[in-house]
Amino acid sequence: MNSRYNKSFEENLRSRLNKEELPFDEDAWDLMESKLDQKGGDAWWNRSKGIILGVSIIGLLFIGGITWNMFFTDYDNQAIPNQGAVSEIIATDQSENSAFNETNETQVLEVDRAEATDHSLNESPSSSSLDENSNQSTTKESKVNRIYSNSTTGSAPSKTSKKQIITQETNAGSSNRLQDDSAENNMSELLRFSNENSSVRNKLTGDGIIKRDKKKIGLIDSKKKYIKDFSMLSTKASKIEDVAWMLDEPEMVVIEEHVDIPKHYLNVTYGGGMANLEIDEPSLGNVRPNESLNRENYLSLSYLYRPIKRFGIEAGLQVQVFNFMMSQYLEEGTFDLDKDYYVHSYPHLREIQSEPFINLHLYQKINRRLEVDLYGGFYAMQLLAGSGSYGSSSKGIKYQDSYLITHEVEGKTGIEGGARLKLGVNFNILTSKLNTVGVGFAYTSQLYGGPTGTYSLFQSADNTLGTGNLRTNGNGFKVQINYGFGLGKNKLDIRYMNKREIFGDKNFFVSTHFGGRTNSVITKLNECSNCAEVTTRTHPYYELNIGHYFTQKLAVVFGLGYHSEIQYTGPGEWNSIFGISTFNVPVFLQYDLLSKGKFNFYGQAGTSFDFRKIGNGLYPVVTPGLRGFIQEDKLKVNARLGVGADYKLFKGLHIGIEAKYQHAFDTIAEITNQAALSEPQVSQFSVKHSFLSAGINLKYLFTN
Amino acid sequence: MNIAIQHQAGTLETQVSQDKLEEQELVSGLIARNRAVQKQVYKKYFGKMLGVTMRYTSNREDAYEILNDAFMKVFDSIENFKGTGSLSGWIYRIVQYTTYAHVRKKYKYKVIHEEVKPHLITVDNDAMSNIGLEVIYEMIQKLPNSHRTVFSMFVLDGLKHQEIADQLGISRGTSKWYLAKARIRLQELLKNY
Repeated sequence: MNSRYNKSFEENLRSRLNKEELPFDEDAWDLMESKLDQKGGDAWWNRSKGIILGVSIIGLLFIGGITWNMFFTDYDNQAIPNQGAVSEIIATDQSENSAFNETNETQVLEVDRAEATDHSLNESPSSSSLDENSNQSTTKESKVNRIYSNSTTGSAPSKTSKKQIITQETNAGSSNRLQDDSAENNMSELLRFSNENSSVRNKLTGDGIIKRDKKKIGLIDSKKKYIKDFSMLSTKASKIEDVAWMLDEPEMVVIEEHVDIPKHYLNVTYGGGMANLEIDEPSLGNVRPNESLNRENYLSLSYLYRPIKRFGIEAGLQVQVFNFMMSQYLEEGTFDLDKDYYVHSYPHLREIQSEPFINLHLYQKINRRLEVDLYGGFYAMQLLAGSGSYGSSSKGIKYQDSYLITHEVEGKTGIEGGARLKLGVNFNILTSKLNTVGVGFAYTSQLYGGPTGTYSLFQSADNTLGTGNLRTNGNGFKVQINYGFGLGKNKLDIRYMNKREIFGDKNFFVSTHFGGRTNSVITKLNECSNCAEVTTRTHPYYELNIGHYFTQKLAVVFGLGYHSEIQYTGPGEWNSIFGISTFNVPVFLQYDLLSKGKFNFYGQAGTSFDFRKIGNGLYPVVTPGLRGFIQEDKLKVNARLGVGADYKLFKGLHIGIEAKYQHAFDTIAEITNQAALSEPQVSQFSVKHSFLSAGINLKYLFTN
Repeated sequence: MNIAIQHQAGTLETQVSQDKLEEQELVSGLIARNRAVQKQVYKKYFGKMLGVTMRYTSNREDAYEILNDAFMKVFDSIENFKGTGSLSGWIYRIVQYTTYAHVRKKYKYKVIHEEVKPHLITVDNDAMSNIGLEVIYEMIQKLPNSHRTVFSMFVLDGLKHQEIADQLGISRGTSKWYLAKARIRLQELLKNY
């Protein structure tokens, strides 16, 4: 009786609460409306924020570039240290000879007269005036800078420019000056002729003309040849005798050439890295599928204009392909499933997306072959897409009449298609033809837009395991390689090599590493009595590094590594459950601790960034009953310490061994493993990339 | 007689198709993010849906907040509504799951190993029918959070103990314990009324 009574009460209660409705409250709608307005406001702000941020960053970069240029106009005019073989052969005045006009073709003939002659001129560094009566006893100190330039523009006021020197010399008005003026005019003519005839110029400025080796005779012969060629050219324009003294005293002549980077480049860039698939909590149902794959690959073609050496502006078109995957294990019995299913779908757009972009570049020269390129830009709009909207896609796995997993994605074209900001660093190496090869990394941030869609996990007429919204965006780190074709190089009269070659001065190196590494650190996250232990084995490790020596001992090294591992679990026999392949970007300092003869012993310290290679992380079910999946897929930062030793085989080639320890601060992946034994057990464990690695190094060291 | 039944069936059919048409118009308006239609939908389902959130919260403000969160999901993901069921059923499920998510995150549940006997509420049904709806909600809201949650899931939403355990991440025994305690508490409240 009591039971019935009790049941009746509760049924009555349920019936009343489910049937009777509470009255409408206008206040509740006011709250709702303010919520809706706030969301609308957020959407407006999100879009406006993107544009405002984009414009602000581009503006700041622009102002920064101009400011930088104003303060540092001596890009090519850095004083070149007077050292090595050059100073053994000839004494030169380095105080002014490195002052070059930044934007114009320039050649310098720098003359140090050992004895005072009719042609000798003494230029005071402070006044740049000519001293016709220079003392014979101080001939080593007396120097003549004869600077010939077809420059038409001035250079930075902070430096005594060539044009200033020429002007001052012209105003001096002595008889010797007249003679020198004549030579100057002749040489200017020669140079102009040389500039107009690149084939002749190339002949004059080839690598073999002035070799800064220690064979003085060869050096002098080369120099004579150069001067002769120059003299021959001079007959076309003026008097040969003005340069005859150079033939008499070739050891007093230094011929320098400077890098003049092309102003126009055609760039091709390929890169790839992380993107984002955001899967919302389900609005209906309570199961959210996992993000299992998020990758972006892109290729861009662009035009780069470098009006000045430190600044460039680039515009182009980038095409990119996103790859995303979401997945979920559906267990037997869920909505009457007859067995377990591992379902997945790829909510990416089938069409290639494209973004016009504009980048601003700031360059910092490291040495004559290497520069750092800091850049940032704005990537917006999907232009090469269908009108209105694009890229809707859907894919599903059906069980009986119901989709186990399905999705729909849609994106927009034009200004609503999305916008991204990109900030990056490239290390550009200049080739002998003044093209650039750049490697670097970048981070892109989606400001607004990007394809959006919905997902449905096991949706039938009556039940839904989970449905909700998803969206994709291009947020994440990318690694990229770039090739720039320098245009209009025939207008340049010089090559990048400094002819004053100094032997034994460490410049930069390229090294490759082949080795292996120890296991990752595996930590069990839960107690699972029947679960098998997870075990690993040693794994291959490869690395390619580029290092630049700031001093004779200290180098900064940047590289790209790759290592992979396969994790195993029991029971009984070995069964693979998943693999992780990782790209590694190390950035560290290397210090040569001890160098003796051909041996060099060094230490390293720095950091490295792990990017789990996307799309290669999961072998879900290799053996029936074992399965695992990676839940996390993020960029991780690690610390790195290393030691190594190498031996110089010949020229710049070194062979050595290297060992290093990488310490991971965070997990690279979390894995759930379900063993379908007699009583199913789920084990969870995390993987940290802390390991020791060792292997063989091959290194090529470039010296100045 | 047959004609009368046929006429009645025809009228019903016409009514259903009109409702369907009206629902389609509402859905179209929601997809277009039409504010007037949003209010219309909100107003239409307010009373029924508020009842769902009220039974899981301790005050009306919290109930409004959850309800509005749920309606935001409705307005945001209206494209997910395939039209296979009724709009009200779809909204009801969203409100229910949003409420469940709220109580799952917000409220703490003790692990109970104590065995409890099923407690019976003895209330005169006539007296029950005389209590106003607002008062019933008030009494339910006076229950401790975790007690109220289990009670509402079991009694009002018709979930089984295993389903409650799955929803809240607790054991079946714990669910039973909370239900029994909720019944005792509710009976005390009703007696004092």
